[in-house]
Amino acid sequence: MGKYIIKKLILLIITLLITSFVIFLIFELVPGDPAVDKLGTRATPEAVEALRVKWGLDKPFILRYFQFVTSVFTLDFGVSYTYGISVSNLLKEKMVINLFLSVMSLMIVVVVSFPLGVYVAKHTGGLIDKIMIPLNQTAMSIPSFVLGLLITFLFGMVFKLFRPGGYVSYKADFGGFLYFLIFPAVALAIPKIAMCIRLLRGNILEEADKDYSLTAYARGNNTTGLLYRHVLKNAVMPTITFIGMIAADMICSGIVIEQVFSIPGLGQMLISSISTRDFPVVEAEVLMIALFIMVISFITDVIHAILDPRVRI
Amino acid sequence: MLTVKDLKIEFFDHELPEVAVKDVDFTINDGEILGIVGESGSGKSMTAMAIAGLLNRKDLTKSGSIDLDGVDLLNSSRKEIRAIQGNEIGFVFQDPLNSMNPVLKVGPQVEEAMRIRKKSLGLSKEDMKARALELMKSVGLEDAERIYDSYPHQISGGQRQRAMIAAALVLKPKLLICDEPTTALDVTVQKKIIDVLKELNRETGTSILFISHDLSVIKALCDKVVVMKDGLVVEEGSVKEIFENPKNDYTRQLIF
Repeated sequence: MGKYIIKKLILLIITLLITSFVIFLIFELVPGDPAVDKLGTRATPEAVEALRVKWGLDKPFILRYFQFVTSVFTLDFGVSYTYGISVSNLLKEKMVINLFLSVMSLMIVVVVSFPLGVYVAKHTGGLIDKIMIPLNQTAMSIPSFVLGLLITFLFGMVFKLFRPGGYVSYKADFGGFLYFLIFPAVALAIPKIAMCIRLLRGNILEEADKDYSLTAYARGNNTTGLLYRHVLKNAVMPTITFIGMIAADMICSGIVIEQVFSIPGLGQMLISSISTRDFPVVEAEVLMIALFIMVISFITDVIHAILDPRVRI
Repeated sequence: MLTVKDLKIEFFDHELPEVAVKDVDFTINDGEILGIVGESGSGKSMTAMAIAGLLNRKDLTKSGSIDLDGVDLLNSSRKEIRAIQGNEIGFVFQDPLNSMNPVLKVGPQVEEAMRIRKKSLGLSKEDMKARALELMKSVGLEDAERIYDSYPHQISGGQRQRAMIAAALVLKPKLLICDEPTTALDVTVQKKIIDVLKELNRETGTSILFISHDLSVIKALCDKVVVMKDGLVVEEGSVKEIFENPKNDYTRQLIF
């Protein structure tokens, strides 16, 4: 087990190196000069050159890449071209917002879909199962941002459970911050919950049809015993892998959801910094997103190994 | 001890009934080993599953009776059958890899029939482990302690099937049903498993219902044979009768 974790950690670092290189290379290849962008086309060549030197753009590619890689460990990504302040300071608050939003949403997915998926699988063909099938279809086909609008209208304007657009900074009021995030988190979670329920239900039914389940019945197990002693451990594994993938998507969907709920998160920052060619900010953001996704998939790998002895090699 | 009478199993495929098993009659006396032989699709596994109470699919209809010491296994409630499964009837399946849960250790799987009835039997964890180890050794698993703590993929096919036999025997069932237990194993291991079953029968007097398509295995193990074809019993009798003087053409074909 320890060996497996170390192997996965080394793999994570290698992936991070490759990803960082790709990210850096792409922004290197994007046409346009950030210095010209900043100063405007009428700036003198001397001024542009001076700015390039100041930002370190005159140095060779490999040297700058090396600086970028080391910055991952020191969390010092340089200075934003647009705002003139350090990128880490600029991103810190936004990272916190998105981290809380994604993690909260993932938690909602797990807490809701696991019990429901198990229940529906256990009572296949029952009333709830019959209701769930079309409901699931619907939930899966509505994009999160539409759900976000619906939630804003319903809970924000009709029931007045929160003030639409009234984002509360976590520095000012942490409880209020978490409360506000519940609504976008739910909007993000609903389609994923539907997918998880469907996946889990399918996997449980599939596992219950396998030979070892028949063996378990032949020993005198009832359906509940079979489900909890045998089937569940096997059936949750694809769902856990899937939740790892969802985590990646949470960040991307989150960018849209932020707009709907007017949350000053990573997404707005990302869009504005791409259009102004504020490369230190974009690179740092993309790298942080990649890191988040990798950490989540590392966690799902470890859970997988805990559940399945065949993986721990 | 076990009497099967007029067993008929039909399943419905596209609204049309299709007969899987029909007019099956046989008895197994205490301490007897009965073999059912037939090609695939002859209904032999279906018969075994019906006896073990494992046929409760909705698309099946069953008629006739299966009587195990006064209990009708075909027409009892699920609850009554559950009390018998693993307790009075042990079942060993064909493929020992697929019939073990890959994510559970071997030991707990061997113990499971006891564990389900832990409360009514008043067994502690240590009792169950001791009983499991004792049985695993008795079926020829020398390093039972290691296997007890192994996962199914860490032990060999022969060891798995021995463990499955031990698992079927933990509660000293009256009847052990083996559905092609040696088919997935190689020939040398096959022989050892047959020896284990023979010895078990001699020492504990457990009746065995042994299903196979391999006549040589049946000949080596059983007292009585039932030959099935297309869901019907074509011939039955003692091993001696069947092998020395087969009456039915199909049986003759199988033997020669």
